[in-house]
Amino acid sequence: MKPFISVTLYRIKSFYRDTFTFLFSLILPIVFVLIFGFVFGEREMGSNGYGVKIGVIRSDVEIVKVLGKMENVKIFEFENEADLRNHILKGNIDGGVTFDGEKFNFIINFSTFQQNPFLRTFGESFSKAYSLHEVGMDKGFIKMEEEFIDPGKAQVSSLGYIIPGVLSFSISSAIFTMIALFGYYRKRKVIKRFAVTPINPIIFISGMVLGNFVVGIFSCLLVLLIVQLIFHINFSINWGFFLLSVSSSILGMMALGIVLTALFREPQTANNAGNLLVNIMLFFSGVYFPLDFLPSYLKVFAKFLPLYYVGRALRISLGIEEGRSSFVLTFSFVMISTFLILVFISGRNIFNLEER
Amino acid sequence: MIFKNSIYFFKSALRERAYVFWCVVFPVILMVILITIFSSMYKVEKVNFEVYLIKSESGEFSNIIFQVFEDLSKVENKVFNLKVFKDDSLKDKLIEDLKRGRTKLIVEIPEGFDSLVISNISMKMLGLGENSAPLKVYILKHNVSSQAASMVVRNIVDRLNLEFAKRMSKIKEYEVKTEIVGSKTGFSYVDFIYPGIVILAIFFTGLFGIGQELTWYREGKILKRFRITPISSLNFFFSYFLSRLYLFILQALIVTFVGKVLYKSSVNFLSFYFFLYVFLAMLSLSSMGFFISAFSKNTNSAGVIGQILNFPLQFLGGIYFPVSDVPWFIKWIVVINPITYLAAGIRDTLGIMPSPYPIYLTIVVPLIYTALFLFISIRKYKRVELT
Repeated sequence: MKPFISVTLYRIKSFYRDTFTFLFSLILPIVFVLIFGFVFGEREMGSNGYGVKIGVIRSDVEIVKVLGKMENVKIFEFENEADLRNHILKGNIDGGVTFDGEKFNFIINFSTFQQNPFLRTFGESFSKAYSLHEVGMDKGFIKMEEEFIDPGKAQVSSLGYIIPGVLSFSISSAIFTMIALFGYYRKRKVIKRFAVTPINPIIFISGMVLGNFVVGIFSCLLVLLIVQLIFHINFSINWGFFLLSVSSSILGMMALGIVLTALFREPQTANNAGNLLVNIMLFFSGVYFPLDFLPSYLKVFAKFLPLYYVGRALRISLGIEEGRSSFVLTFSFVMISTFLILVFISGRNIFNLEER
Repeated sequence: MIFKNSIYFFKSALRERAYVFWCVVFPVILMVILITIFSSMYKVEKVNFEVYLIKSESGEFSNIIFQVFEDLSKVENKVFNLKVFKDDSLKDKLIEDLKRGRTKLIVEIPEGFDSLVISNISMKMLGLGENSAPLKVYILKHNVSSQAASMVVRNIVDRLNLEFAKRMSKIKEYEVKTEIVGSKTGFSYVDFIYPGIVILAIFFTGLFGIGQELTWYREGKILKRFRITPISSLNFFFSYFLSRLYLFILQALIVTFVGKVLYKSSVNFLSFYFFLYVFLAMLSLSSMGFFISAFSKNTNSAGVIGQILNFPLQFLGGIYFPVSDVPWFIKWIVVINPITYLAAGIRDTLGIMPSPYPIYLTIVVPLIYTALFLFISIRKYKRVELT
């Protein structure tokens, strides 16, 4: 037992000395949180999905009146069209409305459109509202009453919804720990050397795995703590599920690292393949970007990526998304079983290969 | 001699598979991924949404709304996959479905809706004010599809209001033109991302290629060994940077091929400005790599410095999304980031997106960085080599 604990502690200590691993597992997720937090955190939309700053020429009094009756529109008045356009171009306002007596021109700032492509429908809504205003029926006959439903128990901002993605990024670094263990160590015949020491190679591998596992959990908890402290996001955390999801995800990612080491004999190639896979998973598993508008074949592809399930399990555990406990339990069971099977097979192979 | 050596360095880089992958192949993969994800978001074509309609009333106006939704669910390019529920006691269960992603939107025609519309019409006719009948819409937070579906419903409601009003009064409808300012060709995600990826590819080479490789040369004392060869230090560096120039051209050509041929970008890559900013990117970002190599103790630390700089400079350089309105405590990274000026300058001059900075700054700042990085690096290299 003592050698096992020593190896585990050694791995934890070496983690902090290995700047690259330390950076990838701990610093980068925090950098991600800060960038996404400060860039996207404040860009919450209004209740009608617009929440926009619209400019108008001061003399267009009727337009100002109609805009004033629309929900979540902040009006900015300008002396002339050139001035209005200039402010839109500079990004001071999101868009503007001009009228030539027959036709409305809805001008949108490029960046605003990029962030909110649905704003294109604003012009249509406005022109209909204007037509009704002209006949004194501003409110119309039917009004749309919107109610935003939180997908989970916790009421979180867009940043809160991104956090499981950041945690997934941190968890995915477990892939590289296994490439190091089963790839580089095998190549350098590190484990073979244990034959001349009293330490059983199995104890060495188990200790290393446990060390990486502990570091992975610590990294996730630290990211979560920083998010809570800086951005005050109130998750509704089911700690049992959260720890189970994170633990099984780390083990599942380790299993993926083992698969890559088995597929690519050269550890550097396995490392590159791992990096590529992490990037593809981060983009296509829906942890950062919505998959809703992807072609259906890519949606199916996303469901083959483990990070898709990692993200979902984390969202359920943090109370961001509604889901059955059976999903978290089944997901964890599959991840842990895959890890155990693969580590058993690869653990045997690693010794056989080194002996050859 | 310089040319011959540069060819050698270039071939040597191409033989390094990881180098080629991360500096040439990966930017292309990233471009394909980004275009695949985001182009469909901006086009919103052939999208249909799962929508639940709760309709417990069977009056005239409820039926009109039902008919509109049903019509939009039948046509070839249907907008909705509609499921109608007549029992409003199921609402909680249906909201659970919304939370679990089984539907994107719930539209509820509440009890008493028809009588409210009728009373509203009567009040309007008598000039007694307005009291619109509510059509309840449940939208899932953080879900783009749900928000898009709600926009479609909003348009339906606007249209219905107009049609009802037309029956009571003469209404003039106005045409609306939507204009996206700052772009010559309107919004195209491919046009937006393509020059950004060219800069990103050069950035990767500067950061990881040049930075790490030169550190490795220094760590392995390869630079010192050149002293006993007829190749001078100046010859070495000229040859080396010329070889990276070939690599940059190769990167730009491959990304351009993908952008122009596969995704039909309208960006004119033969324009003077495209060449100018690509050249400025090559100068400033390769000198940044040189700078990193001068201050890195070993290859590992060059890798770590590269990784530390990679994400903030990449994400806060405006390559993927605009960063002009970030809070002040993160703005400084945007302001000191050379990528910010390169990306803004190339997009503005090519007519893709207006630059938030004056154009002269987008040229001067990368040039200042180039001079600064080179000056400091050369001094540092001289000192390191002497010791």
